[in-house]
Amino acid sequence: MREKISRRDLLRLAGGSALGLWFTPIPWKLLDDVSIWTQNGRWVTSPPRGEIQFRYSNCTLCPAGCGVRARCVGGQPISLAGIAPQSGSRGALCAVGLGGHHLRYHPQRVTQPLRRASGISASFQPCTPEDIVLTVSEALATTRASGSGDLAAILDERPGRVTSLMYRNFLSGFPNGVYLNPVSDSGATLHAMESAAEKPYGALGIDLENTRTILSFGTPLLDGWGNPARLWKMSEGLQDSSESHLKIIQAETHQSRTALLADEWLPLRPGTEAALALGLAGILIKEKLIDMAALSRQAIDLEQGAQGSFRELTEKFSPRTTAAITGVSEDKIVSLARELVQRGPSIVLGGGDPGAGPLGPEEETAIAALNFVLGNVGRRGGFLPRRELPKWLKEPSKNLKPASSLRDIPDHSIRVLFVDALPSGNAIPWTLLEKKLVRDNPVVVSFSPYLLGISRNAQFIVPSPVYLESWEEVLTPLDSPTTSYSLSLPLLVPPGGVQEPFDFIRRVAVAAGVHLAPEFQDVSPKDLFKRRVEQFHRDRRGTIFSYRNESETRVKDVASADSMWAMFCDGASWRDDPPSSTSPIASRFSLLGKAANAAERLEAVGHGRLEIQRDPATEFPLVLMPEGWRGAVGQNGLSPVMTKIYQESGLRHLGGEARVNVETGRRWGLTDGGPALIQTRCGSKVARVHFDDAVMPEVIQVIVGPNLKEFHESQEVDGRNILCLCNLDDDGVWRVTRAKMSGV
Amino acid sequence: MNRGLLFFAAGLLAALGIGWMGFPRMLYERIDQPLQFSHRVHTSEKVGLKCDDCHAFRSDGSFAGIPSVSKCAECHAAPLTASADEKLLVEKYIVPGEEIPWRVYSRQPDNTYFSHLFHVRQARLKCDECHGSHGSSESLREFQRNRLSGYSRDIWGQNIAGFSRGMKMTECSRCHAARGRSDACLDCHK
Repeated sequence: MREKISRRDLLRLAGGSALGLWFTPIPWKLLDDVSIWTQNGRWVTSPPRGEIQFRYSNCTLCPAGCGVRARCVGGQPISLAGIAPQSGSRGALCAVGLGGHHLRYHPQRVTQPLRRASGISASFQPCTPEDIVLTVSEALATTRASGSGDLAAILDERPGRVTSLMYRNFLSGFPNGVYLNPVSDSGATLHAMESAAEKPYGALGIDLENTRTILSFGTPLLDGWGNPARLWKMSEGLQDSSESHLKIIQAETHQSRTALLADEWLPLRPGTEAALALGLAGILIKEKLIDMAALSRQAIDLEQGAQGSFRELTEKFSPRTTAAITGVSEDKIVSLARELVQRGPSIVLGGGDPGAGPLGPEEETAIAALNFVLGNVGRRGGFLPRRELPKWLKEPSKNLKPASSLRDIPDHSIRVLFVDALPSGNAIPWTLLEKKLVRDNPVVVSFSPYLLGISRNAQFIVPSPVYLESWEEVLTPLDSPTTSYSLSLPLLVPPGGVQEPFDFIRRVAVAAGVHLAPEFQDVSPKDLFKRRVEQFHRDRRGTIFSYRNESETRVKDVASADSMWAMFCDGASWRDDPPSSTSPIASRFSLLGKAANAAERLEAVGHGRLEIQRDPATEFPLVLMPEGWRGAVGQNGLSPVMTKIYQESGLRHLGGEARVNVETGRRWGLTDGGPALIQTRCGSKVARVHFDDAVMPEVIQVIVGPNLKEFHESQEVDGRNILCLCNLDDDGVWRVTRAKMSGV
Repeated sequence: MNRGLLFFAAGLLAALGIGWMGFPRMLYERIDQPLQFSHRVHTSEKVGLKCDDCHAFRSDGSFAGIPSVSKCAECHAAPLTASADEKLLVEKYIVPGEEIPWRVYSRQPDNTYFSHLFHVRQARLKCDECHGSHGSSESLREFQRNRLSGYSRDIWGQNIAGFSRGMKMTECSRCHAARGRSDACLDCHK
C-alpha cells in the first residue's frame, strides 16, 4: 500500500531544494544580472550604437577655453579629453571639463521658457518666449519714456565676444542702457595695472614661463586659475630646492590647495592683503632694492601726484606696522621683499578666489603698485602687452555702449537686467545684484541652461544651449601673453525650446523698437564668427593649430579664408605671433591708481578690510570667508558624475558646508561633522561644520559650490546660498564678514 | 532508505538540475544569426583571405569591426555558388544595400572601452587568443542573449557549466595579470 505524501515529506523536499539552490548559479547569477539590468534599463540614457569618430571643439565652461577632443559614438560625444600641446589645454582637462558632455542631462536643465510664479521661493511655470519678450519690451519702454533714470542693463561675464558686441549695440538704443562686465574678475590685477597706465598699454598677459617667483595673494594658481594646464605643467618643479625652478609663495588666510602645493604658505589675517603689498613696496623703496631712477621716471605719484604721495603712504606701513596688521612676522616681511628682488623676475598676483570674490579695488591697486615698483611691465618674466584681436566690426563706437562695472552703478537703479548665459566660473552673490535692482517690480531675465544660481532669483528664464550645443567663441585666457581665438562647436543638437541669447535679444530689440546695426541683422552668430575668421586671414597674422592633425600652419600660408574657416570648423585655434621684443614700456603709471581719494582709501583698507566694516567685533567675533572652485560655483552646472568628487571621495566639500579650526570649533561648543548656526548682520544659516587645522583660528571658511540637492532633480534648491550671509562693501567686495557661530 | 532523506535528496537533485541545466536555458534567449557564414571557406587556401582583409583598421587607427555589406559586395555582387545563404546574402542585403543585422558575440557593454589597436598592433595578440577558433568555424553558432542584462553570453558573468569563450572580464584580467599589464578599472571602463 502506497503511503501518502505527508506535509513533513514536502517540507523535506523543500529543504533539499533550498539547500541545492545555493549550489547552483541561480542566486549568484540572478543577483549579478539583476544589478546590470538596473543599470541598463530603458530609463537609463544610453548612447546609440554607431561609428566611432573623434571630433574637436573648445571648452566654454570657464574662460580658459581648453581644446577638447570628443570621442563620439554614432555622433554622440561619449568622452572628452584634452589636446596636446598648442591648443591651450596642453593635453589635460580639469575635472569639470572632463564631464562637460554630461551637462546636457543635468537634472536642473531648463528646456522651455519659465516665468516665476510669485515671490522668491515660489516655483516657476512654463511660458512662451513671446510672453517674456512682451513683458520685457514693455518694461524697457517704460524705462526709456519715464525719464526716471532707471537703467536697462546686461551682465556679460565673457566680454569681447560677437554676442557681447551685439549686447552693447542693443544697449546703445537706450540712453540709460548699461553694459556690465564681470563682477568678480580673476584678472583684476592685470586690469588694475592696465588702468593705472597714463597711456593705455592694452591688455596685459603674463610671461609665466620666464617668471622665477610668484607672490600670490590668495590666487588659486594651482586650482583652476588662468589656463589650468599651463600652471600644472609649470608646477612640476615646485618645492624643488634648485634655484632655477618657479617658486610660488601663497599669502592666504587658510591653507588652500594652492598653499599646500606651493613652496611657501604665508598665513595672512583676513582682509589684510593691501597692508602686505604696501609694506613690501615700502621696503623695496626705502632700501632702494629696485631701480629707483626708473621708478621715479615712470611713476606719476611716487613723491607727489594728484592723489598724494605713494612713498608717504608706504612709510605708514613700516615692517612693524605691517606685521601687526597682517600677522606675518616683521623679519619675514623684510626677507620676502628682498627675495622678490633677488629671485626675480618676480610677479605679484591678486584676483581673488572664485567663491570668495574679488579682493577689492584698493587691494588690487596696492598689488599693481608692487608690480610697478618691481618693474614688471614689459619685462621678460613679467607682464607683457598683447595685441587686440583683428577688428572686423567697423561700426563707430557710439553704437557700442562702453563697459561699466557693477560697483559703479547706483543702488536700486536697474529696472531691467539680462544675465548672459556664459559664466565667468566665479560666484556672484544674488544680494549684490538685488542691491542694484529697483525696489518695485524689477525684471530680471536669465539666459541660462539651468535652474541654478541667479536663475533661481530671476523673473524669467530663457533656456540657453549648454556647452557643446551651440557655436560660441573662446577668447584669450587672462594669463596668456599672446592673443588667441578659437570656436566651440556644436557637437549636439539642442532640445526644442532652447533659445540663443543672441536671437532672443534681437527679438527684444524688434519689440522695443531698437534698431540694431546692420552687422547684427539677419545673421546668425556663426555668420559673424566666420566674418571674424575672414579678418584673421586678411590680417595674415599668427598661426593656426589644427587639432585633428596636431599641425601648425602660418595664417599667411593658408590658401583662402574659406580654408581657414574649414579648419576652425574641424577644431582649431588661432594664436597671434609672439611679441617681437620685451622691453620696459615707456608709458608712465600711477602707483595710487586713478580713483578719487585714492591715498585715503588705500590707507583705510590697508589697516584691514574688516576695519572699514560697521559690524562690532564684540558682537561678531569671528570672520566668515567664502571659498570655491572655478567652474563649480555660481551659474555653472556640474556633471552629475562629480558626485564622486564631492561625496564618494570627499575631495571637495559640498556647497554650504563650513570649515573651522579645531580649537575654534571646540571653543564655540561645536562638534566635528555636526550642524552649526552661522550668523552675520545679513542673516543666518545652518551649515555642517568640519574641523580643519588648515583654517586660521577665529575664521569660518564656508564653501561655495554645488549643493548636494543640485545633483537630484526632485529637490528644490534654495536660490539664496551661503554668499547671502556675506557683507557687501560699497566696493562690491564680500570676501570678509564679521560673524558668530553656535551649535544647533 | 530513510524516507525523509529520500525526499530531501530529491529536492536537492531537482534544484541542482534546474539550476545547472534549466536555468541557463531560461536565462539565455537563443537567437539564430540572420544568415550562415563560413569563416573556414573564406580563410581556406582556395579563397585565401586573411582576418584583416575584412576586419580592418581604419586610417585613424580605429577598428572597423564586422565589415559592412559593401565589403561583401566586392566579391558577392552576384552569387558565386548555389548556397542558399549566399543567395539570401545577395538578394536580401547586397542588392538593396541593407546592412546585415549580425548578432555580435563579442559586443561589449557601453561602459567598456576596448581598443583593438592596442591589443593587436602593440600587444601583438592573435585574433584567436580572444575569439578562439571562430576564425576557422564552419558555421555560426546561435547567439545567446541574457534576458536580464541584454549582454551576449560570451562577454559577462562567471561560467555556467563550463561555458567559456574567453571574452569575459575575468579573462581580460587574467591575461593582463599574466602579462604584467595594468588592470585598473579606468583602463577599460571610461
